[in-house]
Amino acid sequence: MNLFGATFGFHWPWLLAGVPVLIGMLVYVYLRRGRGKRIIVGTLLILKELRRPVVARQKFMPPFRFFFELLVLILLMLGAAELYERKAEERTAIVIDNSLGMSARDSLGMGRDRLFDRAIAEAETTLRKLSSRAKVKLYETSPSLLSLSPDFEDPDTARERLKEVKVRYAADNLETSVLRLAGDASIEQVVIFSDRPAVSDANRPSSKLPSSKFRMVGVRLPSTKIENLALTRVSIMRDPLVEGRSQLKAGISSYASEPVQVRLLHEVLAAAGAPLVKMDEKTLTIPALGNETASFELRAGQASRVSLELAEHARDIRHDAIDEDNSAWITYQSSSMKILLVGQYAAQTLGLQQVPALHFDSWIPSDFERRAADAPYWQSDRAPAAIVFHRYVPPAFPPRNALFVLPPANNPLIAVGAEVHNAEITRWVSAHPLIAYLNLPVLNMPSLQPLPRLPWAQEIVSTTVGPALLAGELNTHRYAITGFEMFPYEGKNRPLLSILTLNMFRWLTDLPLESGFIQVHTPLKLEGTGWKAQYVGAANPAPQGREENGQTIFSFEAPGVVQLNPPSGAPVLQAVNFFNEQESNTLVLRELTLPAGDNASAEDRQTQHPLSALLAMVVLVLLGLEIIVLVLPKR
Amino acid sequence: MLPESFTPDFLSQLELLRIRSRRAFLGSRQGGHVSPKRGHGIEFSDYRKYEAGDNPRHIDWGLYARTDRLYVKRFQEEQDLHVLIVVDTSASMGVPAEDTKWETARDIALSLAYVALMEQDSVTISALGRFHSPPFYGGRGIHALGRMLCEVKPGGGKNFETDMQQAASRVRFPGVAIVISDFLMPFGVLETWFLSLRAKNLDITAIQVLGRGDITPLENEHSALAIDSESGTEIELVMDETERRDYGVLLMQHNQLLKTYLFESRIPYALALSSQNLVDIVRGSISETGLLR
Repeated sequence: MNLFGATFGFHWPWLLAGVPVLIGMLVYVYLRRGRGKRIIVGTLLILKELRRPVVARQKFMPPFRFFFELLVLILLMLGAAELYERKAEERTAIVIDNSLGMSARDSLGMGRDRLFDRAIAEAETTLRKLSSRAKVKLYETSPSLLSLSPDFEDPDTARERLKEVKVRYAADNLETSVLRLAGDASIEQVVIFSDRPAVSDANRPSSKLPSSKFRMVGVRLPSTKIENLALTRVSIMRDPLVEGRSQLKAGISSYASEPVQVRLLHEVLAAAGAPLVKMDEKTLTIPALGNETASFELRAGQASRVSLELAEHARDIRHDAIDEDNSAWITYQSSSMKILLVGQYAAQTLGLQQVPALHFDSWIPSDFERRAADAPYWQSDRAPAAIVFHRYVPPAFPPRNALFVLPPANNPLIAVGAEVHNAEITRWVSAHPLIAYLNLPVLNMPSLQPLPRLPWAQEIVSTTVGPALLAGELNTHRYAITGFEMFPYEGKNRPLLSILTLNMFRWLTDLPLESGFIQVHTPLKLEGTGWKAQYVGAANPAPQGREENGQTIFSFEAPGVVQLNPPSGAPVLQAVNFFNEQESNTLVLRELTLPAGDNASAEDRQTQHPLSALLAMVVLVLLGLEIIVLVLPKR
Repeated sequence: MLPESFTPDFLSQLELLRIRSRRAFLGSRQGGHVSPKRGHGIEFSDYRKYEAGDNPRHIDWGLYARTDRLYVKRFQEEQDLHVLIVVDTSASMGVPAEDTKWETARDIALSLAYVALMEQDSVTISALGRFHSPPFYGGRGIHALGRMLCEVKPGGGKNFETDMQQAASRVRFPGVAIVISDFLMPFGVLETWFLSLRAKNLDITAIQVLGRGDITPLENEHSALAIDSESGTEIELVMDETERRDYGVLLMQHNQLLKTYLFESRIPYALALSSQNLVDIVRGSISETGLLR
């Protein structure tokens, strides 16, 4: 509301609906006022000589005092509705959703505009409409909320700066962005341009209306249904039981309302400078809103690219909105993860060096006890991802995910029972990832030390004499305990225990043991300094590494294969992918929950110059005047 | 049916009293009041010359012996007195109820009626706007009158003049008229009242009954919306000390005007406060007017 060159607003505008009611009440009270108690007297013959008789107030002829009280009442209502003044120099944040999902294109139209282009156009329009006195900060949301404006600037400069906003391979990060901006007291209004809908008011309790600080500008394409196909995962499956046999598996998701036929192409990069060589091609039918997996045999080379496109005959009737999620890369060698083995036996003795993608350090228990309190070590990057305690239990649970194999009797943490021979398995939790792919009834445990039942741990495998395998989380760390010996790791010679061992490490490290790629924006730490990186066969700018604590840390902004050149030695290839089902899903858009009004209002009050105090002062002065001018002279 | 205040004691006291009129009125029956009619009374009146047809028993033979002329002795006849009691039943007589103005007026009326009835006078009570009773004779009539008056609830009061004119029009014999009212009405109305009664050659006595509410109205209120019990008119009032003082002056002026008029019209006036004892009213202010002896 603009008045006298200033902009006013209300935090509780619906309270103003009560003003007519209150005016009506005031008129009624006025009509009744001054009458005092209704008293029937015998006759007014003499009393009427004292005052003029009033037959009835049929006409409403308000005196000055009525208007005075009306003014006080309206001022109080304005105060109750929390009138505030927006300063002419309104500070606005323009937030552009530049996540990958915004690169969706429509099949209609000549220009095939992206959602992102429309968002920029909308933002430009909004900036044009802002008054020249307004101050603006331009933000992009992905990969994290970033202000492109060094400080608040005029709308024209912000409009020029819109050219700097680019679509990123990242999730939209809108929830976090909204929370951060809600807490920024220097910003009075936030305008968000995104394809995501804001939560409708009907879904909220009335006391939790969205804050007036936020305005959502929904960006839409002309088509009502935007369909998309995406590669959502890629992995190498090495057969632990057959040496040298590997398969590349690619997951495809369809966000189309009808089944669609796609063509998958598998290409191999033999070496860093070599061209991609087509190895295989498959055609698959993906069900509506369904997933499918394609497998390719890996034979040679250093890296592979899997890409998909609509089958030729499907291109006229189906649509793939986002091109950027149609290819995925994978390299065959991957970075290894460090696991600490604490026990009397070295990793080689237990056969653990055969476990792919893991690197084991072996410590004897006394070494561990000595370094257990070495906080800098456990906080450093040299610390292991997980610990295996073999026939040994430390005095306290370690600050890492850990596997306890056959805890000794009388240890301080886990009270194991006496050794039992040929215990029979009675029960197991088949859904638990630790025993995935296992045919448990054939698991042979020649000897078992039954485990205690621990409040934080789930009993994964139970026997006639007690639990044989426990797993659970304690203080945010995962711990697994076996009451039987599961080493040495002998690969295909002991398939059941080998798969159990691989499941253990997969669960403890929480990563596929051999992912073959890293996600975009995930830091890649390389030992040593002086590493250089460049994309293979792509025009992307060379990633710049950051050197810290004798390590070089890279963060890649686009998918592809990156050649990592150490200061000395042979270069290695690293695949980088961006998989995000939410960004690829163009059919079902997540709702964005804006902060509730009462949360944001506290911030608003700081920036929107509430006038309640001023109104209260005016009311007090008016009431004082009333006492002096209208009441006191009558006494 | 008499009100509770009519105790045997009080009735005995009333029996000692009698209504006195300042003039002799012709009665309709033999009674205890000297009548202008000459006849067979006890009290000697005068002589007149014997005329043919006069009863020889009335000749004063002693005077004839002294003067040798025939004179007939004349005696004053004693007849009953027609007493009309007019009671104001307007709403103002019943407001405020705790003042018991109406009850006081009713009891005064019944007391005077009892006095008259016990003297074998004829008593008619006219409750203005309600009823005009037939004439009652003898002590028994008091019960019928009591019943009739006790059934009356004060109300109305918009047609003061008409009511009084109707009451006066039903008077068949001259006599004594006693008007009991608060007389809180426009002076013009009061004039009409008394003129209506005077036109009937009545010996009028005015008894004003006032309650506490008439003397100090809205006693505990600072401001009030006062509603006239008779007309329904409303006025807003602020009753501070000035207003109360002004009210007292205005009431006094009104009563003074009334009393002056009554004095000039030779109508005795008595003031009865509802807070007073009935015996005190009857033996005090009413007796002082000369109505009772």
